[in-house]
Amino acid sequence: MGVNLKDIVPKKVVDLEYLKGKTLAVDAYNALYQFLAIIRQPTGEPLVDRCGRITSHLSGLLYRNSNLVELGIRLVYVFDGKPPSLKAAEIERRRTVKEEAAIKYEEALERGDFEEARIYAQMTSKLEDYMVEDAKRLLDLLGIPWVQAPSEGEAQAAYLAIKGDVWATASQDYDSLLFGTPRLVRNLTITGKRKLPRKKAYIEVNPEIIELEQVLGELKLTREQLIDVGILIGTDFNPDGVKGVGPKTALKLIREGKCIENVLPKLPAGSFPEEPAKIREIFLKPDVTDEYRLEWKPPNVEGVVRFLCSERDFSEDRVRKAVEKMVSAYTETRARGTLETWFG
Amino acid sequence: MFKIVIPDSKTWKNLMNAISTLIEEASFDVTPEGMKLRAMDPSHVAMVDFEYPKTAFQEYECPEPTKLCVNIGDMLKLLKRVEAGESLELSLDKAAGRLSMKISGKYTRRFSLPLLQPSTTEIPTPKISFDARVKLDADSLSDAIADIATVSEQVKFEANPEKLTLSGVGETGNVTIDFEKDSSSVIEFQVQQESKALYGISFLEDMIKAGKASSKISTIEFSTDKPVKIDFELPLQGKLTYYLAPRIE
Repeated sequence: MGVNLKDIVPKKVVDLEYLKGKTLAVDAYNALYQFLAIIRQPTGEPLVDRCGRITSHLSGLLYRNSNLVELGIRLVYVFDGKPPSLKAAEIERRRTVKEEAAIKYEEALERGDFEEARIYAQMTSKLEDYMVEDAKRLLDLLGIPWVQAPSEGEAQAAYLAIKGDVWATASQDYDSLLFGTPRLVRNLTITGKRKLPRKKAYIEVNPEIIELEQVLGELKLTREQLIDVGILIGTDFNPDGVKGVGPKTALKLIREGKCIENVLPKLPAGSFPEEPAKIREIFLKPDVTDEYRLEWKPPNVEGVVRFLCSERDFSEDRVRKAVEKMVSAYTETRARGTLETWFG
Repeated sequence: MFKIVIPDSKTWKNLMNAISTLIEEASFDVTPEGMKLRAMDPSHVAMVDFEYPKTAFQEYECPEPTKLCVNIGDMLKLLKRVEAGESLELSLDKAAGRLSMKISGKYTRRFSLPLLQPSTTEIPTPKISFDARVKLDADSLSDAIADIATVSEQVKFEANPEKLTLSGVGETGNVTIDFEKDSSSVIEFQVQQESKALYGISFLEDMIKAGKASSKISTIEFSTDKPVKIDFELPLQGKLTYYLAPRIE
């Protein structure tokens, strides 16, 4: 779920063009889940190949990357490793949500309510191991580098940004900010027209840029205090947060108390069972690695066609077009030669 | 209170002119230690890296780090009116969001221009190991580039342990200029490995022309198919450095 800072952080809405020439570290699981949720048939079924293997995420990866690369945006995908042990409760919560959604999905289908079924189907999205492997294989063929995080992908992505290897991290979750990313780009993978759930209306979604320095400046908080605000609201490591405390209250409490340890005694007893210091530690000293190489290679057109068309039943025409767009973007960037190539 | 005094406003005009070759809006980081600016042109092919320590100013008061963003073309328009020997004082009117320039010579003039929203983008330093490094007279370098510009839109840089060669190939003719390592224009010469790279001439021409107004000595560093770094020595640890991305044949 991630921490909900939406109502309190300042953001700048831009168009994709603004990101031209920039390198972004994408939270891979976050992006793949977005694709899984959005790319579905009208009844809510995900895309599958003839063997029943899910391919929605591959479709998303291919066409999204193709559009972004064509615009001159460079991407690195960062995959989650082993979740911190404190995340167990959140993982259990997500599992329950999915099970309940699966039951409601079947019920809605029986009623013939496809609109409702689609919503529940989106909530059942689950990323299986084979799907992650497929995603990495496709990225390799597209010449897009990916990094395996030892633990949280967002922490590793933030680390790349802190080191200056990338300009920003891209994720829907605000946790990246708690992990210290200097800059967060939201909506990168869902920019465009999006249908509103339960309505026949569409909205235009644009990328948003959130700068950590600006967030801390406007909220008048240190990064440690921002983390404490997050912990009060609820993070992946304490999904419930404190009952009745939303972003605005949390902000007020930390501004007054300076840190969570001073705030907790004022709250009703038992309202915060976890150890705040341990959660803060995950954000301040996350498990990250320096063992990665960021290298962008020309896309392998035939390789992609073999994988997606021969093995996963994609339409060859569309796949070729998408990859060829990436090849010409790659060649053009090389020939024009921007300085970004030399930033690390 | 923020106040900076430059003894000869012409020095300042030349530096601002050097920055304006690449960008329209200049976002300076002004700290208690000095002034800095790093920016890329909109196509991200070229970069300027400028530093001017507080000791280089006649007076320097900046108690807290400040971002100062102005339209540099507009600033230059005002500076054009300045004569050699006149001193320049920069100060901030934060309430009105304006930068004031007080020019003192035979009499006192005050200009002001609006402050713009500063960019918060931090640009990293390109990570390049250079195989060739040649320090040479900036006028000679400028002349060489001007010679090549008569025939070609790009310049080939080639270096071996004996000489640096700049050349251009065009429809109307070819131009080749050799700087042998012991020629009188060359001050220092270090080439570890034969290197060869191609650069667009329009940026080079603008950079070198603007840079030599502030410094007579330039240092070129490059490697095969990598960006070129051109550094102009400024007095008192000031720094004016350009980077230009290569063209790939």
